[in-house]
Amino acid sequence: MNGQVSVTSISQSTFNRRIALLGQVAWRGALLALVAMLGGLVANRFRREPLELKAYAPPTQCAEASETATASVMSAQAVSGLCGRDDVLFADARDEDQFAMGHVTGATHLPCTSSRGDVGQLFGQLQGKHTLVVYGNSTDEAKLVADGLLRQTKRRDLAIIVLQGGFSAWRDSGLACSSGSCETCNETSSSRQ
Amino acid sequence: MALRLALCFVFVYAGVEKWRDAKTFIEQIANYQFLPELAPYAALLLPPVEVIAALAVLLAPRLWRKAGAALMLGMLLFFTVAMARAWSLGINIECGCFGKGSPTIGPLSFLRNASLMIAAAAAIALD
Repeated sequence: MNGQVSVTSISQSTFNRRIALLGQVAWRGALLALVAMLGGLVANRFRREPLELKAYAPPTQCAEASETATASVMSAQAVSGLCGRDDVLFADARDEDQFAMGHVTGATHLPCTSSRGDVGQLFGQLQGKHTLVVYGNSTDEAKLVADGLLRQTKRRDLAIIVLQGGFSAWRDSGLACSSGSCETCNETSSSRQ
Repeated sequence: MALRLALCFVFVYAGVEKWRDAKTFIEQIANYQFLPELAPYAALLLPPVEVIAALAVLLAPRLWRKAGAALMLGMLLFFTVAMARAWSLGINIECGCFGKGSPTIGPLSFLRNASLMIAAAAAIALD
């Protein structure tokens, strides 16, 4: 019995010592980090070009088109065959007002001037999908965005397609899944089933 | 000692390279698409923490050495989670581990981080 008590008290004291050691290490670690950060702030002032401490602003122009990877361009009629499929996502590269006025229903809003966080959201939405259709006001505008996305993804099973002629071509073809429910998409989808 | 020397070398090199080309490092952090607004702050504060942790691991008294190694372990855990997130989202980016020209995130990046985490944990446990 005494032996058990003794073993318990030893392990308890060892445990207490370790907790105390952890605490000692933790506050020293926090102090090191704090001193380093303050040092970084001071050192920054002596740089030739000090970093400005303001929120990161992503580039306001579309990414340059890649010379090696380019998205394919498809007509509105051809793209309409993809509409309504579960593994296809539409991305609208126009500005917010235009998107609000009308868009392919179910499309995600992706202006070329969007923050990178939004691009991250797009990649999140692309899980389980194999085709991304990007459209804008024109083919060229969407292609810049699509090529930029193509450079950023490493997924080889993802096809990125540009809608030829932009949203207006889609709408003018009578295929518009504009604001509200995507009736054309559903019709297309059900007519194919 | 050899372990601590190796950790120190890796972290000083990584910290200095990131500090030297901070603008590239900001881009690399923003490319992770995880709170990109904070990229300039991270680019300014992370490299000195890496260097100070490395110097502590090599030169400081025992408890401070452990603290330095614990800091390294914490940073490596954070970096690995960030890389895993980017990897799972299919974002094809440089890891930014050693500033400009860092390798693209891939299995080797995770292997390197795992090795460094084991080394940092060993530096804490064995010291």
